[in-house]
Amino acid sequence: MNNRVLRWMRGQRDTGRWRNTDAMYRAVVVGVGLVVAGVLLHELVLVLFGAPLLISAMLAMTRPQPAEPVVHQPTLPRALEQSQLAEAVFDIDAGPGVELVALRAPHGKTRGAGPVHLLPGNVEQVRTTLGHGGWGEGVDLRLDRLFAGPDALRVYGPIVGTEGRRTILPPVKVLPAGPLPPRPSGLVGVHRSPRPGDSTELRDIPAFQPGDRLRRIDWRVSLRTSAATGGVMSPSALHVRERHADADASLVLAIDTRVDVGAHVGEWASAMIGNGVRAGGSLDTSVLAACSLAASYLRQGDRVGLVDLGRPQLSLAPGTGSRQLLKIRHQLVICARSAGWASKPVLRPQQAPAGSLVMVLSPFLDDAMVELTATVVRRGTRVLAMDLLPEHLIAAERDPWGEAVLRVLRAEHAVRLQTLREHGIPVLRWGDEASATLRVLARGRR
Amino acid sequence: MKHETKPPMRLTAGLPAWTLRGVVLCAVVLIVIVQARQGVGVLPLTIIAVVGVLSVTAPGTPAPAFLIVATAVATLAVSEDPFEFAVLALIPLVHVVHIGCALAAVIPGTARVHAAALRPAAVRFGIVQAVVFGLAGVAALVPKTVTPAALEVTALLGGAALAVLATRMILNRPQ
Repeated sequence: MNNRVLRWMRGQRDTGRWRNTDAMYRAVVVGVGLVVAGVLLHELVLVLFGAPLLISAMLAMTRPQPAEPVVHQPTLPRALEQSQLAEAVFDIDAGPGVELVALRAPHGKTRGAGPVHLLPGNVEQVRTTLGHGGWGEGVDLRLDRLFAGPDALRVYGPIVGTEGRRTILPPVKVLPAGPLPPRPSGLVGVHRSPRPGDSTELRDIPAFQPGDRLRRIDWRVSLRTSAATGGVMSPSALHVRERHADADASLVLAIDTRVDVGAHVGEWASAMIGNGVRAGGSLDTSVLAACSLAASYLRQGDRVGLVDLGRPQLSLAPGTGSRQLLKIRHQLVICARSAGWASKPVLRPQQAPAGSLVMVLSPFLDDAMVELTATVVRRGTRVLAMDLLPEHLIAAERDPWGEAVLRVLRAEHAVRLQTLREHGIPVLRWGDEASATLRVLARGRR
Repeated sequence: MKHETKPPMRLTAGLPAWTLRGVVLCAVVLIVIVQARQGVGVLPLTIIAVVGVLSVTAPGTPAPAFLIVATAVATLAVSEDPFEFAVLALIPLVHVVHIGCALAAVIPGTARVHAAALRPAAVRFGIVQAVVFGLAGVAALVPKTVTPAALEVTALLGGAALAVLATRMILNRPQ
């Protein structure tokens, strides 16, 4: 008997098999107890109270014992665009004795693994959509499940499902790409190189020299020159049209993942639930800006790289093409996932190739960022700083020092931006017209 | 023969899980009201109300069982006629408490309940109540005379045998 009781107790703990619930024991014990007590005491009231429970239990026990129920999880894409939804259909193989299925799944526009749904047991397929919510990586599927017989008197489970992770890529906002400083090497691209080449843009009309191609001779200028010198066409009167060379350019997007701040200063120290990125905060804006800039410049054939200033090992070397854009978007999600405070931002010289433009995206909340940016400029690299501190900061309401702290923050921030400007670094805000600044940088020293 | 598969069910929001607990709470409130009108004392009513609230908040505990037993005992104490309206009203109410707690116990409080899932339980509830009221009708027709001792002993033994059989069926049921 002891062994039987122990086996029963073990069976009650085992969620991988059918077992009785508390409701079953309630139905049997209270039902039988009230009926027997009613008969013993000659009280019909007790019998009438106990009979429904007993009949329910008997009806549940007469149902066939279902087999092991299964939920099949479909194969789904690992990465999605933000506007894209993945349709998921789960096959439920429950069997005839199952009356209720409790299944955890997302519905509508809920984020994450979703709530548990109590469904009819005869449902064979359940359809839902995944991929709602903002960009980032997270678990959006975990099919926790429980199967129950009539009146939930017997259950199978709960069984914890396998986690389904998905990456929602940051959206791309196509921007007009401005001019960039051309790379000293390479003769392809859309940027005008200072060197002579084969583009259509006129560079100069010098006198003909040995080695110049005859088809480049500008006959109109040559005839005018010969007319000015007496009308005799001599070799010294010949002039050639010289054109600029085309060159590509490298853009290095350096994002500051060490801080993520929003408009409410009081919330700066609080951790975010979900993908860990504050919606509308500096990191969110950095990622969206980096994505859009990368897409714009890659589309015109430039080379774009990515540097995570907080975690240099997560950086991407400059590259071209749509595959590079996809790599950058995935890498931005990884950078945002690993984002967190690092005392010293790092941008190694080899991460910004010669001739490239480094665009630093940061809220510039500490002096280390200013020092780093100035150091990069001193190396001879052209740098553009993009300030991502929210424009309208709101002081912590409950803190009596909130307003004072905000004034100090603003003053320090203004000093940092001024320091950057004094180093010759243009400072822009996200959304500003950057073409004029970029043109100046592109024309700068070569 | 061609096997026809049902179209997939589109997952919607459904009803909040607290709907089930709300139904149990309504049943508990009605039980307390009916028993107060029957003349049940303040202390038993308080006990029933407290156990009722416990049943709503923790349906997977023995609280619903205590509630059903306490209701039956309190009704037995104050009721003289088993066929009066209050007693007949309490029978479906305690059954609702039993089923509502059984279903609410297997899902978390944040779950969503789809109405179609409750249809079989509702149909079974109706059938069971019809059987019980049929039983009450038969009992009302039976003459109220003293039952011979031999018949009573036989009935008792039969009840005990039923209880033992039910217990064995549960314990020995193939897993």
